[in-house]
Amino acid sequence: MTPSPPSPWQPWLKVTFVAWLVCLTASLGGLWAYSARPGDSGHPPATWPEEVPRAQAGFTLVLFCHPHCPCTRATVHELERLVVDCGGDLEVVAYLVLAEGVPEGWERGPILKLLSGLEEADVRLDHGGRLARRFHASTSGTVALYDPRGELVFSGGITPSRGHEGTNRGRSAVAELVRGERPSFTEVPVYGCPLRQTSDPAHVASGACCGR
Amino acid sequence: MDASLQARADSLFSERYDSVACRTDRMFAALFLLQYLGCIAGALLLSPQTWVGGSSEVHVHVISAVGVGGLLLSLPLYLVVTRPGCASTRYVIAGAQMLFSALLIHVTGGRIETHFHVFGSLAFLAFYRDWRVFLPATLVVCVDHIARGAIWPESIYGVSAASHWRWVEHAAWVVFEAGFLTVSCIRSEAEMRSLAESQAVREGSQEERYRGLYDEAPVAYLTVSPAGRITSANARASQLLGERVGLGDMCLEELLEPRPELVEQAALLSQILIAPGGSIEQVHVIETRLRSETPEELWVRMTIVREVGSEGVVRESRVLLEDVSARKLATLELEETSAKLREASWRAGMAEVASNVLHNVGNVLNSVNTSVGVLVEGSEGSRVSDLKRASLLLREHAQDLPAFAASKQGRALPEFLTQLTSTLEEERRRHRGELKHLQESVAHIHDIIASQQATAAVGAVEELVALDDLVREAIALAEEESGLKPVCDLDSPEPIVLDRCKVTQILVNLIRNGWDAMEEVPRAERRLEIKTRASRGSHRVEVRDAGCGIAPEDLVKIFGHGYTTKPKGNGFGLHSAANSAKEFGGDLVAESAGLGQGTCFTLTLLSREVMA
Repeated sequence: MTPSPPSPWQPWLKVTFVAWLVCLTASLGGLWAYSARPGDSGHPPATWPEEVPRAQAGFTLVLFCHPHCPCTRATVHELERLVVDCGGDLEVVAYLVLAEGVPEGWERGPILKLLSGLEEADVRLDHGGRLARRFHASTSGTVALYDPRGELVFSGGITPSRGHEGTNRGRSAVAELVRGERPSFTEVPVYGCPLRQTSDPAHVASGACCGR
Repeated sequence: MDASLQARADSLFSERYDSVACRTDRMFAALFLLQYLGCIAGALLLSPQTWVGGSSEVHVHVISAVGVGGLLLSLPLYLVVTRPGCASTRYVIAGAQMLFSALLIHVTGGRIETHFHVFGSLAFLAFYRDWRVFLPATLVVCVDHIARGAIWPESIYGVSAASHWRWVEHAAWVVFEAGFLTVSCIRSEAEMRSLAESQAVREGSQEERYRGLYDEAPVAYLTVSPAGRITSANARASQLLGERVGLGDMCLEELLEPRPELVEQAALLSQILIAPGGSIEQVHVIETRLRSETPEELWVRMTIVREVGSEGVVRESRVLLEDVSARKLATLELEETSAKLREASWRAGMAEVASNVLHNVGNVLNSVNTSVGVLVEGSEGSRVSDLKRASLLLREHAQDLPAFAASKQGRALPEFLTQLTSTLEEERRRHRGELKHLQESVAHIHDIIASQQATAAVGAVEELVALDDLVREAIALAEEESGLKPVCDLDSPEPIVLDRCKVTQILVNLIRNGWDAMEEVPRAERRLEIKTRASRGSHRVEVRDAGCGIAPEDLVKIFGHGYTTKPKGNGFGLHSAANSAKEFGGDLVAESAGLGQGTCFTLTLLSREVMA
């Protein structure tokens, strides 16, 4: 049904339409490419560092977050689902990494608010990013899973892309490991804001700022 | 359904659908703006900044919401403004709406809830009632899923190793909803078409009834095409106009009588019939004369109703013709009679005006005559001859002036010259007074003539003047030959607006009548009293004489034209004075106790505020 009489487009309008379509495709493509670009996954230590306290009973998931990273919201939401999936067999330790020189109270941001609502998570502050360095975590949202013996069994992110929620390989792998299954992946990319400045030698070396 | 009804049904359907499409275009324009603002607000709320340690910058989502969102709505909005209702506009809108869903999903972090925007948008697109809009919408969803599934599957399916046909599952849900909506649109279209056909049928039957009424109507009725050609005429029109109409190739203005005074009407008629809708009112009435096949004139009152389309172009005009020949001819005859009557009245009026002028000028000429008489008498009895004799005497004794001065005659000469000088100065003073009086009288004659000319041309000349001043002026103009002066009691010093010349004429008239009425009265008993009073906007002048008086039976006709009691009177003066007083909104009345009892004339003038 097209009751209106066909009104042909002038050539310039056709060119405008094509240009509009191309610009739109390019800009949306660029946006998606930005979201798909992972940060530095780091390489957490193969065994749980002795100087860091942990429960010995079960699996321990340690998470490093930037207090203001908007992408990490998705990580916390995915963590909520993961905790439910694991049914209480998972100890969660979340570190809010405070950069050096930040004012007092800087940790009070959206991520702390979200984590406070997650009863199963033990939220701690990492002043100066000392523990993050100890675990070689450079990107907000980095997760490391240690088994009851303290051995690293998984590292990476638990979101499908930067700031996006949804089914993803990282969350599935952690859930499978806790359930005693063998996952397809034990290392996945992590998506989020860099935890440290580019001037940090370790950060520069890892190329963590490439996501920006 | 025959072809004409089908064509009408298609036209109605098209008209209604255009309306629906334009309305939905506008709705989407508003929706795009709302989505744009919502997208920016969402980005600012959820991801305002991106961080590196302790430093931050504006997040890419905010920049994308502003830039990509703006780009996304630019072309649809442009098309809504420039090509509302066009099919291509709604197809672009459909595609852009799906892309807006993708942008919103991305900016909100892939929340499941935001995915409902896709399905809500499909429902909105159904407002177009055009199932084709679902094609570009579905196409955009499929292409997005296929492309991202191939390049970056995790961003859309959450897993990196999704099946190549996973997009089909996602697209299927869109197709599922679009399918239902397509059915709904097709049914809606069928209903709209059915309604259009029903209306076309109803209109057809109405047209048939209308045609019957049209042919049998007692008024002449024509239809005229936008080009000004007569397309149809009912029976009464054919009867009125003869066999000239209904030919289809005759213009309406050709029916007009070819007269120079009707050329402008023909041009106006042509303009009314073809001018665009905005420039001329929709209903026009013209009274004009048409060509007649008989010797009698044919006048009609033409009522033109134009049917103007939504695009402002005249579609058709309907013309009602009413035969007004009888009334028009009666009006013309009346106008002719009226003109003749006016002419006769004018001539009669001119005669009365001439009488008034002659009478008033005559009054003043009496005064002129008196002054001239005084001057003539004065010059005849002048002592200038005595001066001549004195100068001759001095010339005779020029050689022996000392001896002459010592003589008796010589000693008396200085006294004689002193007396002569005094007498001549008195004489000169009198003559100067008379000459001044003469000058005023001539000026008054000039005023009378100027006043009549002004009245004949543009009406009376009014000015602000005190009534007492006018009375004094009139007394001077109407000065009695015997030198008697009226007794004045003047108390109306406030200036009022009046026709100075006419009021002066009335007063001169009344004063002269007063003196004339006392011609038979002994000089010692002659008494003329003039009194002025002002009260509450009314100004009154009383002129009372001790003359012959007026019999009661004559009082009622004293102001009649040509009536007079004076042997040398002509009966114009009081008649004219009474008429003038009425013109000012005032009155002139006469009172007398009877013959030999004197008369009192009272002139009442109203100030302008009281008259209003």
